[in-house]
Amino acid sequence: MSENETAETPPAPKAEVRKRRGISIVWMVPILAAVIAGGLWLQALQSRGPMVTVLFDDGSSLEAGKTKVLFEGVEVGRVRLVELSEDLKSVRTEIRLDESATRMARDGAEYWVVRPSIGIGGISGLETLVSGSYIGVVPGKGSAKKDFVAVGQPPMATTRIPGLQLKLRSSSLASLEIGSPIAFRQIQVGEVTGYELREDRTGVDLTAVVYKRHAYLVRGHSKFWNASGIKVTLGAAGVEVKTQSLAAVLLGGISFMTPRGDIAGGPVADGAEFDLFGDFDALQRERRIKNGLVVILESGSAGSVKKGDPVSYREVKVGQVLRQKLGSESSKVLVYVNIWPKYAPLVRDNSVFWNASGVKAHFGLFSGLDVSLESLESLIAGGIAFATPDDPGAPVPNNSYFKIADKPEDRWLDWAPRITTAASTVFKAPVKALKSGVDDLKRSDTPAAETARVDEEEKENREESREQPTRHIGGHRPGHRGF
Amino acid sequence: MSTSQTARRAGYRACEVCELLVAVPEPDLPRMECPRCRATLRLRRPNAFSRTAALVIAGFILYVPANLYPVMTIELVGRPDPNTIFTGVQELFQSGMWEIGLLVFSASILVPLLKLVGLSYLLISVYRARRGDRPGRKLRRDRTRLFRAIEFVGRWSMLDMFLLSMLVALVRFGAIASIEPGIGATSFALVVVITMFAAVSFDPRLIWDDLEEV
Repeated sequence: MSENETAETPPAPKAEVRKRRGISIVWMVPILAAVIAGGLWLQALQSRGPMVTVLFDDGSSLEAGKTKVLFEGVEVGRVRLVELSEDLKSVRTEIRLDESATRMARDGAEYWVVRPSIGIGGISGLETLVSGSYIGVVPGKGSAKKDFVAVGQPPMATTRIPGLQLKLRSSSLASLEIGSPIAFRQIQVGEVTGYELREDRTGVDLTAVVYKRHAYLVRGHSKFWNASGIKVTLGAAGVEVKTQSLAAVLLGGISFMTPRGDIAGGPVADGAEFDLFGDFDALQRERRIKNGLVVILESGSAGSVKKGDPVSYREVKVGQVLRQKLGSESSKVLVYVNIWPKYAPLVRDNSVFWNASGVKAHFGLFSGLDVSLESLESLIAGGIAFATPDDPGAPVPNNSYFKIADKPEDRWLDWAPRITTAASTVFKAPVKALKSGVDDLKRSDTPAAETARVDEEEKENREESREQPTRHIGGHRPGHRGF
Repeated sequence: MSTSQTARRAGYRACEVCELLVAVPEPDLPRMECPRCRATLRLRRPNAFSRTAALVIAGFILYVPANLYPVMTIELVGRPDPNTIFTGVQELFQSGMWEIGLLVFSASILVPLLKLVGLSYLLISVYRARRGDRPGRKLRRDRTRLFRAIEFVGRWSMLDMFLLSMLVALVRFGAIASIEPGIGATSFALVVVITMFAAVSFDPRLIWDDLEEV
């Protein structure tokens, strides 16, 4: 511009002066483009996690670039490549995981394909009908790993329904299915989420979940039993039909109860294991044996006594015959008898037992016809009766031996000792224990309404609590104070 | 070098808009206007070389995401199906519509690339000519022809973008079907626009300029 001052120079060809004014603003364009592209590239690089290869048996519906890998319904990766493996026996996929999914590339992670399927157990993977199949994954915990072999079906733990995850040990699957309800007082509070054969093949392990809002119902001493189907019992007392809810009849189901008395069993954590009893009777039998008294009766022959026969005291059923077997020298028959917890104190070291099966008719020359009958039930079912003298002896330990008489002596029938049965004296104690147990429930964030229901349930279950012998409660108390 | 008479030597400038030949009183006045249409009179497009170079580089950079990222995501009943330009072309070929596939391939992949490569070639040759590596007249003519072709063909790249914008607007059936433009589309549109600007900012007279200088 300063040349403008030298105005009067004659017009002559002048070299063109190109003015370079530093860096032109247009250079902002490639810089901006580089920033954008670089940003995209960096973003892609950052959100890129490890690459894993997974072998599948079946590659149908797996598409490179489209099939997603989902964990809990959230995309954590995508299939990048689908090809046949070298031996043509499986399908090899390369999966690019997200940055957040490094745990899917560790030892123990499992991959499987979710496709729609319809079976007796229900319809699953329905969403994949429209959205296409996806690959499910559960993270592993081990060291980093790159090569995986897909599993056939989702591992049990993944059907994660929020709530308390339990493991139930059963001897067989017994008509249970994934989705079978778990009922508490016939209200569904959970469901079976999976099952698998125990590793040593001795039974079946089921996984189940109790929904969060009902999880507090499960305590350390809760009892689970298989409540599938209908049970019809025909006996002298009439026909008894036991059913669970219709869903449980159709689907099979599990019920559980939390016995009173020792509520100090405490809350349980995820993964707690429980035994699953075949039915309620099996559970009851076990409880009665555990808390009651087992005595062994020696007899010359089995008579008509058989397993399940009643044991009566003053014609009230107080126990049951567990089993019978030949003695070690085959000289006599041993009858194992369970006296229920409540009535255990009735058996003393001077008690007498006799075979109460059937009708006893005694025809004497002077006394005429003497017919003695036990209760109608024992008349049909057979059974064993016992009596304790008016001055009862000392209580007996488990597995005490008694002789069994063929028939009662007359004076036995007149004995009427005053023996307090177990529960009545200790009735207050378990209620107190329960109350503090309820406080614990409250403390563990249980809504008030549900606590109220626990109270209700306690009342109904009083029968159970009576069966708890004193020593039990005493035994649990210190532990209870502790938690 | 050349002694031929040019407008510049004679003290004239052609108006770029109305093409009026205007006598210039002085060659280096800061701003002169065309007396007829009031357009700025310029001897050459300003900073033609560096402007074009900058835009071409930007074009190359954006060409990468334009081809790697999905241009559009067709979502059919909840199943998203992202498509890059190339997978789109592939699909057109696979479904037998190779004519359209060829059209899309040339308009979306070939043409932008040719433009970028062509402009780079022109820039390099101008740079080398200034350094004294003088090409012959025929080569210069071919280069000018190449530039015209680039200018002409550039607008056709936008075909894709028009198609996409129509699809995105039309296919909106909520959960059943929808089409979403992707990062690739943005990058691609930028590539097209930037290359168009690059073609405009390049001054074909640069191809011949070194013939007149000293």
